[in-house]
Amino acid sequence: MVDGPPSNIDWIAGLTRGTLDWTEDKVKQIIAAYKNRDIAFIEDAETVKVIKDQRESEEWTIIQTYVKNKSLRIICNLGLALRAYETQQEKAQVLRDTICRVFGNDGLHIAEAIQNGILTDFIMTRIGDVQSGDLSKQIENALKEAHKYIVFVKDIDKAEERIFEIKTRIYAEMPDTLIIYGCRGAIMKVRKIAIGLNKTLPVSYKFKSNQTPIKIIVVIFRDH
Amino acid sequence: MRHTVSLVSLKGFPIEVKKALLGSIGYGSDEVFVLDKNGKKVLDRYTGEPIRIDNMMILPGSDIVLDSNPVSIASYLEEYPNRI
Repeated sequence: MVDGPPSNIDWIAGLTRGTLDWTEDKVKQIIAAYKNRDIAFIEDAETVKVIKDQRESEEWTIIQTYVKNKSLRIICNLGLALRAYETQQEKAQVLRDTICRVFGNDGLHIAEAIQNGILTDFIMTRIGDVQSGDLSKQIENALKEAHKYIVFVKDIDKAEERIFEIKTRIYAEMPDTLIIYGCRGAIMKVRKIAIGLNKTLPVSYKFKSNQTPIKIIVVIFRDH
Repeated sequence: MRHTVSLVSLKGFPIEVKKALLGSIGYGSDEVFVLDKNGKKVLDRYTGEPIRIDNMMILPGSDIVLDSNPVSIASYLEEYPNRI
């Protein structure tokens, strides 16, 4: 066996374990390895893992299929990360603040819609009814104006007031799609609102819903 | 075959080593922020915010220095899906 300098793999392993001595030669080796694109540096590798994990999920495959706009896709990725941080309130809040600073309130609304699984529920509700390209357009429009077209219902909301508000919004904008979402204690409230709207909206608006024990999504869409 | 880049955590790197790394790609630091050749704070290309030396990442592709936050990471991955 021939003695020689340690291989790249040896000292990179030393780097990742934090056991490397910081001699000038080692620093030069590190710089050379970076220049050779063998290594990259990150302060918080866990954050990279969280973001990358979301991009390998089944939900991301669905999002990739229908969301083509780059900014929207980034926000979708962040919405999934928000969900991953649900048990880490501090990280979730820092992420919400950053999304808000970079993408504004609208960006945060979109990310929260993704966090709550609204987009995938919406796709599952509408898939089969519309062409893929049309569905992409509907999805991107709904996301871009999430504050207008996605209604979050809370259990403390008054159903009659929400029906009036949503009806006014629909008559003013005549949107192709409107999504009503509620979870846990708000599920019955969403059902009541949907029944109320169904009685008063033009017949061109159709209703579809998807309910699980913890959430409900009602999609109201215009049947052209 | 795709070239694999190993991600190395900067946690535990002495500040002098971080500065040497930055220096090798044309940046500097006042030990708080990453600075350009003119001594101005370098802004993260995705968030537009100054990059702190204690929260930076140095990624492949034209010596990209970014702030290590989810928005910048997601944006980088969207732009360069297979680099890291």
